[in-house]
Amino acid sequence: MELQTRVPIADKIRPERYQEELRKVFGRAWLCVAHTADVPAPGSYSVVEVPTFKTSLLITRTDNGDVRAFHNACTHRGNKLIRAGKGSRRNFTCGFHAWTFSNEGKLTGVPDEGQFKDLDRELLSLPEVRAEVWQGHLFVNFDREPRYSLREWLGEMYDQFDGYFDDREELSHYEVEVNANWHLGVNSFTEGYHTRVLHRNTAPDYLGSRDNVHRHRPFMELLKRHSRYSAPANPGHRPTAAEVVAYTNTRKLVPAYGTPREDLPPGVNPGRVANWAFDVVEIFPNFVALNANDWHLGLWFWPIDASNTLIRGQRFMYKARTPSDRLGQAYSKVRAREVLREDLNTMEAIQRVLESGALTHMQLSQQELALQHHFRVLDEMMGED
Amino acid sequence: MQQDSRPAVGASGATSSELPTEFSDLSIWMADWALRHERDRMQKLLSVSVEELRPFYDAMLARMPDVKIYLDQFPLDAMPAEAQTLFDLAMTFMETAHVIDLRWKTTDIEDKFPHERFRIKSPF
Repeated sequence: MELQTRVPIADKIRPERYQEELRKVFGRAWLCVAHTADVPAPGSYSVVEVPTFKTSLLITRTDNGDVRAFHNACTHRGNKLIRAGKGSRRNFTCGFHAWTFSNEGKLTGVPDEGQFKDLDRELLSLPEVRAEVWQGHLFVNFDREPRYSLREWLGEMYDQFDGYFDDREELSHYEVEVNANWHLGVNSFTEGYHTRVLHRNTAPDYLGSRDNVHRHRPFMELLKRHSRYSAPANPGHRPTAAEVVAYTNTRKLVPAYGTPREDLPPGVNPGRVANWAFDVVEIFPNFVALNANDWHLGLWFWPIDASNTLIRGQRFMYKARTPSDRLGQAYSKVRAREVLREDLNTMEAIQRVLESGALTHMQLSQQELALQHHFRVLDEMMGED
Repeated sequence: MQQDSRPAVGASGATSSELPTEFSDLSIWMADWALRHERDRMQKLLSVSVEELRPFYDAMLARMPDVKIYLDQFPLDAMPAEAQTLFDLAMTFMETAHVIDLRWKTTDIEDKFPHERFRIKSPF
C-alpha cells in the first residue's frame, strides 16, 4: 500500500470502525503490556489494567523466574482477585469467599470445599493469557491461535536491543484518561515537527540547532509494521541555572544529553547519529518507546472505547548511586513531565473538531512519515480476513 | 490511586526535625518544602504563586552546590536523618526550579493537560 499524505482521520476514529479494529488489530497483534521491571524477582506481582479488553491482568514472576500473565479474575464467581498495585506475594486470595491461587495460576485453596459437588481444580485455574518477554517488556497476544510469533511481529528489532533495557530503575509513572481516540494519542508522540512550537515554554532548546531550526530527524526508518527515528540533540543547548546545578557531578539527562554511549546495541541510535538526543520507536499498534543513553520511556495507548483512551507512561533511568544522581534524575523527570502534559493536551481538542465534522483529513509532512506509516499498517491489518 | 510511597532513597528514609548544622540557614523552608513524594512536591508547586516560589528558589539555588557535596558523602540508601531531610528539601527544589528558570508567569502554565486529571503513580 502507498503512504498517504492526506489521511482521512475523521473516518479512522469512527465508532463503527473501532469495533473492527478491536477484532482485527488488537485481537491479533502482539501487545506490550508492561515492563518486566514491575515484577523484578520471583514472587513479585503487578496488576495492569487493559481496558481495551475490559480486563485486568495479574502479572507474576514465578519461582523459576518466568513471567506469566493471568486474567485478574477469581474463577469462582468472577470477582476481581487483586484490586491494584504491585508487590511481592506468592498466593492470591479473593476478598469475596477466599479462594486462593498460586502465582502459577493454580487453585490452591477453597474454604468449605466439601460443599462443592463437582469441583475440578484443574478447570478452575486462573485463565492465562499468552505472554512472552522481550528485552524487559512483556507482550501478550489475545488471539486464540496467534498468526505471528513475537519474533515475526517485532521483525529486525527483535535482535537489536540486547541488554539495553537492563539495570534501570523506575523514576516516574503517570496515567491519564483522555477523551480522544487512541490513534490521536499515538500520533502525538511519533513526530518531532511539533516540538519547536508545542514545547516552546517547557523545553525551548532541547532539540535542533541553528543549522536545523525545524528539527528535521537525522534518522528515520519505516519497518514492516513499526517505525523509528532519532531526534537531534542541540549542541548549542543553554542550560538554565538549576539545570547546571542538577547535572553537576552526575549524568546529563533531558533536556541535555551526554555523548552517545559506545556500548549501545544496534537498535538504539540505529543511525549512529553524533548529536543524538533519543529515539522514538512506535511498536504498532499502541506502544511508543523513547530510548536514550541513560533513560527510556514507555508510553501505552489503551483504547477504552472509540473516543476514550487510557494513556500510561513509565520512565526508567540508570540506577542512581549517589544523592546527586537522584537529584539530577528528579530535575529531568519533572522537565519531561511538563513536556508530556503538553503532548497530552492536543488530543481532546482534535477529537472534538473531528467529531464536529469540521475537518475530515489531516495533511502530513515528510517529518510525519511515522503517522503515514501507522495508518498504512492499520489499513493492511484491517484488510485481512 | 496507588499509594506506593517507597522513599526516594531506599531502605531507611527516616527524616529529622532539624537540618545538618551547616545548613541551618535553610531551616525556615523545611516545614513546607521538605517533601517526600513527587505528588506532594507538585501539589506544593501548584499551591503557590511565582512570587512565593522565588525566595525558596533563590535560597536553595545559592546553597545547592554545597548541599550536593554534603549529601554525596552518604550512600543514597543510607543517609542520616538530618541529611535525609536536607535531601527532601533539595528534591523539592529540583522539581520546582523550572518555573523560575523558564520565566513562567504562573507555576503551571496554560495549555497543558489538567493536573487534576494527571495521576502520579511514581515510586517516590
